[in-house]
Amino acid sequence: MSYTAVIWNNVEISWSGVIVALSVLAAILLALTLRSARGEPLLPIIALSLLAILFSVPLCRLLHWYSNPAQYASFAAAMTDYGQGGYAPLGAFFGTLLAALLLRLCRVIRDLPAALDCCAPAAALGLGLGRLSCLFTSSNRSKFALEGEHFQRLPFMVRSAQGGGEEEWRIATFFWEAAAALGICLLLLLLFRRLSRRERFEPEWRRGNVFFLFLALYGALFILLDSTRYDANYFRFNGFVSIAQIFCAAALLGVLVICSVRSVRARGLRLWHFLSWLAFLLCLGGAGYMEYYVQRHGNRFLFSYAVMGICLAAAVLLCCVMLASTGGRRRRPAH
Amino acid sequence: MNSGSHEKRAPAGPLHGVLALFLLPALAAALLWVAYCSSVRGSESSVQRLSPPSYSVQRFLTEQKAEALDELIAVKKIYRLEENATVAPAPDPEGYGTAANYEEFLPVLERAAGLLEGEELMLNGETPLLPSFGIRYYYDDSILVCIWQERIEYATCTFAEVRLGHASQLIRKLGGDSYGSPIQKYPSQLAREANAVLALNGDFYRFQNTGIHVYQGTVYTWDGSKVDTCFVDSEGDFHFVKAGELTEKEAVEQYVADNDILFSLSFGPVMVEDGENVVPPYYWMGQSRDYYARSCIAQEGPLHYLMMTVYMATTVRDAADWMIARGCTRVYAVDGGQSATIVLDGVQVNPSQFNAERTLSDIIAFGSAIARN
Repeated sequence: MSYTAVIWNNVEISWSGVIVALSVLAAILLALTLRSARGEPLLPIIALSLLAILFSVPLCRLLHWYSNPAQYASFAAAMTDYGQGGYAPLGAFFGTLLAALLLRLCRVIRDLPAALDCCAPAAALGLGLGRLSCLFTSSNRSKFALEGEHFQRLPFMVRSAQGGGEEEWRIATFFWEAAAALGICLLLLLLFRRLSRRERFEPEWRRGNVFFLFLALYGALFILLDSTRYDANYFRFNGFVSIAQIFCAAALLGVLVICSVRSVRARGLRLWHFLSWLAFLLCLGGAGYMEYYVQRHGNRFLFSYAVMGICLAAAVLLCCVMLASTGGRRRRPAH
Repeated sequence: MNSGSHEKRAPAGPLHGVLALFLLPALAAALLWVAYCSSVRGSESSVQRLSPPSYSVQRFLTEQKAEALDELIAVKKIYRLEENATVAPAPDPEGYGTAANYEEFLPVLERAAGLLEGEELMLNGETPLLPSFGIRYYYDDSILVCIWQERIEYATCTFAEVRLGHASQLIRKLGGDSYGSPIQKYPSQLAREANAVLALNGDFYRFQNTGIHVYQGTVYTWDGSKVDTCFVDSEGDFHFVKAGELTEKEAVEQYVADNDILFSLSFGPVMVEDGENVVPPYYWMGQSRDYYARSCIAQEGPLHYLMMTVYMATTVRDAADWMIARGCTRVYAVDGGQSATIVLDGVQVNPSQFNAERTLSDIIAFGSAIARN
């Protein structure tokens, strides 16, 4: 993927860059298609895409600089020379959100939740395709090696020449991230039409639910997958959980809070609300504990990630239950 | 009620057309910018690389002319870089290879006979190679590199042997290409920036301000009271100076001038001198008596070097014994631990702590001197 695709004067663009650009383009086209399917204007999405790119690249660089200051001569050098250095993908999320808020303030986007609903499957598609650009780089290997010949092949695993002079097969992190993101995209697309139809016939049903679902699903998956990386980005004050994990956990919690507020408004406060919140906190705590556990007992990573996966899946399920309950009671037809 | 107001598509007007005319090209430009920013630069193994812009077309043409005269004039070509160059020409991707054993490597040695000029390598038919690693090599008319691994007691040792055509191919590569730059990068990144065929981690001078630091012939620090120094002169020869021998600025500058020193390494200790283990019982740097991963470099003849990294822990004294057992007579220790790194073709080849590189301020790089298209 590092092969040069285009050289123009002294500007070199590799195939990985081309793939990332194409994935962004695919995401934009999908968002436009979904928007068109709902009969909503397209120009705001084009404006959002442009602004999101302009915000995302510097924010991705800012996050990377924050975690890896030693790789840059100075902050100014990091923020002005985009031909060198790395990028933290989480910045793209903040860039897009910032762009959407700005356009909402300027009233270019009138219905922000509806716009975000269209962007959510598109974002998942872009993330999935974009990750494929790094499929054959040295970062595409997790901290953990797996035995068992069934999986010891590309693209599921990557052969690594480290460790005792022998070769070992490590989980290909970026492949699994790409697969997860594309799976989420597919799920959201399947649900998109169904959720759109529901909001048409049930006045209580709120826009933005596709976006919340995306946050919950992708956040949970990313918490687990980012844990397997050996080159994650960390806050300077904490080298235990990565920046991405913290924000994904916050996103998951945020989704639960918003859906809980809507659910309580729609159905009133119920006992099951409290039980759900308690269960959610236990699940999130369990996932956090397993992150601590896997860092202490790296050889038990299969057990740790299995339990972490179950906890996160349960947390997502609780979010979905809360989200489904925001529509109010279904009225039975009068006899 | 649903939040916000429903947006419905209004009929397209002239304003929409104007906006689209502006937004779409801007979006295309933004996508190009994304492609440029997210391009992976430098190489993984076997990846095409550009020659750096600083390597002049004039030099390339000069070498092409020399190639053309090869059949007519029987004078041995000497390829060289500018003194203190920090970037070499891109190596020939065809020059890299892997041999399963020493017998498979022999044809490479035969082709390199002109470069070796009768000098024997430390790698030979008796070397107990780790079969899973084999012999990884690079050869062109200006440089021969071979890397192998051995299991010594409990440790996996990675050896890299180099024979250069000219001393200018021994490059001291600092992050940011200037002394004192705060830039720290992975050794593989620094190696790719330098177009190095082979690289070894350096002394991580930015981590510690102790010792004598010389870079491109300029003395930056001169307190050699605590650590041994390895000076490298313009012929690529090592000069060992023990701790306490040079402590004054004027003395250091005089030494640098007298010996035509280009740069220094300031970690140590001097491990082997005249074939004897001279590791001191106590050394100020690097916890030499404790068990850590180690890294060292030896010079065994003009432009002939051997490097070793040790995976799993060992003392500096033990590492020195292992180098002596391989016939080394002059060995100097550089930064160990997770810093111990050998890079071939832009990729780390030795096992290291945590199975990952760490960012460093500097490396020692060996590059080709032959310019290509």
